[in-house]
Amino acid sequence: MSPHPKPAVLEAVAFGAPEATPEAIAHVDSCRLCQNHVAALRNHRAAFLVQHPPDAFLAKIEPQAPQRRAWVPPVLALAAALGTAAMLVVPRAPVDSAQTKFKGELQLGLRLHLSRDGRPATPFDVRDPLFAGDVIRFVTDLPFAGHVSVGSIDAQGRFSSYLQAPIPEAGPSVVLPGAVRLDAYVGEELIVLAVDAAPVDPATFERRIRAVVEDAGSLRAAHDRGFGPHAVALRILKRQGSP
Amino acid sequence: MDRPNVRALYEQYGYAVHRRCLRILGSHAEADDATQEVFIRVMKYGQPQQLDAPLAWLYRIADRQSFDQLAKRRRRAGPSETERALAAEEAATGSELDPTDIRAIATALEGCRTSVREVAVLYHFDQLTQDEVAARVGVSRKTVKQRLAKFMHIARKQFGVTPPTRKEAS
Repeated sequence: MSPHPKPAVLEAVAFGAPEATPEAIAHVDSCRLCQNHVAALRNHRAAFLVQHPPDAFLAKIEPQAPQRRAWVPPVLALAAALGTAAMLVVPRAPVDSAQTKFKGELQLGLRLHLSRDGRPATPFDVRDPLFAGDVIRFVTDLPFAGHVSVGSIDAQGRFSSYLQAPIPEAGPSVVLPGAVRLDAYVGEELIVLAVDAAPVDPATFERRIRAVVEDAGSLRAAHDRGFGPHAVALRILKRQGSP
Repeated sequence: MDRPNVRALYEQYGYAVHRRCLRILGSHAEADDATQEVFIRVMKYGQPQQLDAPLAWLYRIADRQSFDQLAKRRRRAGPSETERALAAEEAATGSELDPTDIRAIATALEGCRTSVREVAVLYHFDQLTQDEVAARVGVSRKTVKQRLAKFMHIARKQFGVTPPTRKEAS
């Protein structure tokens, strides 16, 4: 007889998870000990569901987990669709070379430049709030050339893809193409920039960001935990009203 | 993830998640809270493609959530409650680990850093080999050995418990 499956595999068999391997299922079919274990787990699950009924459980968690709204197209696409050209505002962004420090290898960095009320873009301190209609540009310290992805996720779990572009030259204070006009969402958001050697499709980038946020449990924790060695994140706060 | 999917996941794996959290936290009340947090995360951030391997995915979230709770905890469950909860659970499901060992592991987890907890849970609860733990966590086997040694040290010195040892080719 084959050796007993590992606990996680046996649990997958007991709970009918796709992770159950054919070998494990065959083993359980022929092993009285494992059959007893699987039966005990299933009985215990049934008892658990009586004590913790699904409807009551969902009623508890739903107020804390508002359903994500339908996917909102990236702001650029939305603006194009509306014909407003709002997203194509490309304010002149100064390169803040004076603030760039070189000590050893250049570290991946992300900063924002803000254009408000049609004024030229200037460096923005992310500790200050942003408002609907603000136009932001992304400035990065890029330690190596590659494919740059920029996107954001808000506290409601909505993801927006802002940029997918090859950036052929590394260097400090690289101003990324395009700009984003902020929508009326109010609350916290994480903007994440990642650099990859090869192009990454937006869905993969989104999955990567969601995985970190989901693991961390909150935007703040995800920001503190980080998104990997070739990614950087900024927390921004969007407020109601005007500056 | 929408309500019907979350409900289906809860019906199928809610107990598994609760059991996982209970083994790490050693308290039914805290396991209840952790299970709720896990499914809140699922509802907020879950994607359909994660249903390809739902149990591993849910266990990963459950581990993180439980580790976070351990980090914040000021011990609420006394040892007797912990022991009773775990012993009842393990006796009912016929775990291959002795309830005393389970309690020793749960107790020691409280005093560890998250990186050590992660390795200890995969090694002791999931019974993965050191190589398998190394591959899962993305570190070298040497690092896994060091973290397991640290875990044993904390268990013995700080908590006076001895987690079970497993023979494994080095």
